[in-house]
Formats: sequence, C-alpha cells, structure tokens
Amino acid sequence: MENACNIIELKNIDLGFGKGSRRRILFRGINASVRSGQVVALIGANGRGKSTLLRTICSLIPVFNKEGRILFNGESLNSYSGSRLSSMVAYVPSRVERVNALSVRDMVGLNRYYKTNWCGKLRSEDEAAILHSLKLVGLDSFIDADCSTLSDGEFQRVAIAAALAQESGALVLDEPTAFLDIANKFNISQLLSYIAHNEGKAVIFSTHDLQYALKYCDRIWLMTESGEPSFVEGTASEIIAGGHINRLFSTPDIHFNSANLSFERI
Amino acid sequence: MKGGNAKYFILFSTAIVLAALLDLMTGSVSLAPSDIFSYLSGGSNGQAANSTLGVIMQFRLLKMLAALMSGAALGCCGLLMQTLFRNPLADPYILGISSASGLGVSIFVLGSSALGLGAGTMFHSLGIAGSALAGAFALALLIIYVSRRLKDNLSLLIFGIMVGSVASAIITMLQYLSADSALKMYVLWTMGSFSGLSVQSVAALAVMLLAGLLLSVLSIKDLNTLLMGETYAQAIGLNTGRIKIKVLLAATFLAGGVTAFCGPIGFVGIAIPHVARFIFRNSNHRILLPASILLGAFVMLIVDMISTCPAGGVLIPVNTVAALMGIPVILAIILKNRK
Repeated sequence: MENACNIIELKNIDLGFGKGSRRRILFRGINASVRSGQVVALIGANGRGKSTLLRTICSLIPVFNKEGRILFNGESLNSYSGSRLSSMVAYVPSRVERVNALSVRDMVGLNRYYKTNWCGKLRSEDEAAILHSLKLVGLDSFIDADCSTLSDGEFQRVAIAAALAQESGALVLDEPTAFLDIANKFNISQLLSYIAHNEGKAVIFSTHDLQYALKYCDRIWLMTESGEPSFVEGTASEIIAGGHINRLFSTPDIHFNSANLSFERI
Repeated sequence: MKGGNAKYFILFSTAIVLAALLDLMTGSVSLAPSDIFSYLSGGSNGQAANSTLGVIMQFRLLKMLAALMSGAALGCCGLLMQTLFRNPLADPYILGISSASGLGVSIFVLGSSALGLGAGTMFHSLGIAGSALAGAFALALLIIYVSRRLKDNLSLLIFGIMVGSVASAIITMLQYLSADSALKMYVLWTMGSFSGLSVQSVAALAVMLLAGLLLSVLSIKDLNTLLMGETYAQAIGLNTGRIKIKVLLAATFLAGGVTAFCGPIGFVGIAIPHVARFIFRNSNHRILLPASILLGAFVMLIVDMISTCPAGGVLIPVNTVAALMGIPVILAIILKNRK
C-alpha cells in the first residue's frame, strides 16, 4: 500500500497491574501497529489482558513500563491532552450505560465534546457529523429516539456511531459483539470492516469469534498463554501457518483445522 | 431548544414572578398588590422605608429573596449530586455538607454560650452563618483531598456519609453537654428559616449562590458526559478528576450557602430534579439544569408562603413544609421506578 502510515504503533509495551511489591506483569514487550483502513481483531482468553491493552492504547490507563511508547501518526502522546487524544482515537467500552430519556442525537453528540460550545449546543456541523455517523450504522431514522427504548443491537450501533462522531483516526472497541445474537454479531463485525475500508479508519476490536476474525479481518493480534504469555500479530494466514492458534489452548490434544477454521480433539 | 421547551421556561418564569408577589403579600399582615407596587416604585426615595409598610416590605423582600435563591440553589445542587453519583436519591447534602455545617454551628452556638459570649442577635446570626460556612468548606477541602486517592464515586459517597455520621455524633455529644438556651438556638437553626436575615446576610448569600450557580452552568457539558459514567467521559478525553472538583466546589457553595444562612432545608433538593425530568422527559443538562433552578425557586417561594401563612400567628418551620411537599414526590418516584 502506497503512502500508508502506521496510525497507531505500540513499541515495547508491558501490560500489568499493581504497584510496588504487588506489581505483576501480564505481558512483556508488545510490538504492533495498525494502519488506517485496516481492521484488527484482538483475540485471547479471558483475563489475558485484552481489555487492558485496549484501554492502554486509549490512554485510559498509563503504559505499565517507562520504556513503552504508543505513537499516534508517529508522535508520542506524552502529556495528557484531552482534545488531541480525542482526535486520535475513539473508544467504545464493552458495556455502555443506557441513560433514560437521553435522545440518540444527544448521546452521539457527547463524543463531540471538544467541538461543541461551552454548553454543548449542537451546531450545524455537529448535526451533520451526527447524522453522517448514524447513516453509517444505518440508524439515521432513530436520531430522535430515546436511548433506553433501543434493542441491544441497535444500541451497540448507536455506541459505534458516537465513536464515529468523534471523527478520530482510529476506533478501539472492547468486545463490541459480546452480548449480541448471531445476526447482530455478524452485522456489527461487517459494519466495522465497512468503516475501516470505506471511511479509512484504523479499527481495533477484541472478540472471541475466532472464525469470523480469521476470515474477515485484515490483521490478527493474538494473545496466547500456553507456557510463556506471548503476543503475535500478522495476517490470518500468517497466524495459522505459524501454528499460533493451537496455543490458545493450554492442552496439546486440541488441534486447529485451518481448512474449516474449527477445532478438533486428537 | 425546541419550541415546546421554551414555552415551559416562559411559564416557569411567569410562575416565579407571581409566586414572589404572592409571597410578599402573605404574612401576619396581608398586603394588597397595590401596596407592593407603591413601595417598589417609591421605595428608593427613603420616605417609604420608615413607614410601617416600609418595615414590613423590607423584611418580606429579604425573606422572599432568600427563599427564591435557596430554592434555585437546592434544585441545582440536587441535580449535580444525582448526576455525579448517578443515584436518583442523592440530595444536596449527600456529601455530609449539612452535618459539617451543623457541626460548625453547634460548636459556635454551644461554645459561645459556654464562654459567656453571645450578646446581640447580629453577633449570633453572623456567627452561625460563618461557622456553618467554615464547616462546609472544611469538609469540601477534605473531600477534594481524599477524592484524588479514591478510585470511584461510590467510595466518595461512602466517605461523605461516614464524615457526616461522625459530625452528627459529635453534635449529639455537644448537645448533651449544652445549656437549654443554646440547645434551642441550634434546634431552631435545624428547622430552617428565611426570616430575619439582614441585608448584608442576603447579599453574602447571593454572592455564594451565584458563584455556585455559575460553576454549575459552566459544567453542563461535563455533567452530560458523567451521565454515561466516568470511564466513558475519560474515553472521550476528559479529566474527570478536575470535573469532580468543579462539581464538588459548586455543591459546597450552593448547599453550604443555603445551610449557613437558612439552615439545612431538606427534600426540595431531591424532589425538584425529578419533577424537572418528569416535565421535560429529557436527561440533557442543557434543559434539566435551568429547569431545576427555576422549579426550585418557584417551589421554595410556595414553601415560604405556606410556612408564613397566618395560622393563628404560628409559623410552620420551613423544613416541615418542605418535607410535607417533597416526600410525596420522592415516594412517587420510588413507586414509579419499582414498576
């Protein structure tokens, strides 16, 4: 790809928790990058640190090691600057609060915090951005609806629209399909690919849907745990060829069949 | 803002003007609207101020202003706390502000009587207001200091309630040790009153409440993001620690100011934001905050009017009226949410 810059680069990041003597490292030296127009699926077992990694990327928690760097468009965000951060990356948490009597317009408008005036009045460019985001997720007719009346699938789309309205270069989503039925899981995942490929955003999302990720996502970030915790990134075929997927299981008698993308017990 | 909402705001403003007028007319001596207008139009030349009408009007005007401003402040502060803690039953005093003010007042009242001070009502009213403010701001500083170390708002809430309980325990002990006259003075303060404030007191109250209201209005956008939870606000790129300090300071000015000059007036602060939500069916603070301010002012004028109704010359304490009016609303909210 010509002229493609790495919109987010992770350089030598450690993941962990605790302070002082209770400091515990989960993962060491993660290196990865994502370009605009790419969808990355982050895969790993529960409790392995997927959410921690995503929250670290969004600066919700600091990088665990001093040497670790996160670069946005080649620049490090050293000091906390809310408006710069919000123009770089938008985050959709795994559970978004549903507020009673808050209209879809107002909820999506919240993500335009740094663009609206002092009391949050939506101007014409804000209205246009909100409408554009809602059109992308296919819910522009719901703009005046009350958030609390939406179905789970619809609400997840509104949450994604809110992140889109931030007009950031990258979108980070923590298990966006966790609580959805099969049809909604598929639709949301397809929507994320559409956003990356047609809106030129870098999209990173964590998921447990391995088959879908291998089939449709541009890159896979895999956090495995058999033996040493290890982080691998690559295209689906590289990941499969490297035999990394078997390492999602801690027992050696499970084998990943790359022909039909499923697991078998040997 | 939609046309329908603007209509409501005009209606509320008109209702406030009418309620203020009625409040000025009601009392042990009933006044006609013409008396009020003649005082207001000729009050500046000094003649009217010395007449009976002038004395009554100055007393009632100050009382009306104190009620109006306190209502606006408590409605606003209740909304701030309900949003900050995302709890429909949070009230302006949930952080322990009234207990801290109460502790300040009880130390002053009981201390000054023990030391043999206490001649002059001026000394007393200023002392009570000052010590209540000192208590409220001491608590606010403590909470702001502690809030940096606490991870979430729930711990902050627990901290506030615990500090309030400690203050209440100390107050109880001071009451036990105190003389009857001092005890009565403290109890009268806890009943709440808008009467008998000097021009200086009302001016000081106005400065504090305007500061609190201004801080609140400047937080409208932040309050909206807090509706979605702290993590969401942080993800948009906000410094939630700074927002919390801004909201806590506003709450201290509002609840601390009202408590200092008029006593710990309850129930209005919880009930008003719910009435505003019920009328507008909108959680956006750009609507809800001005609505709570206007509704609070209106309701408190009614409360003041009822409390000074000439019922055989007996005044009903403000807190009694506020409770009788506020509690049905709170119960209705709980019952509605249970459905």
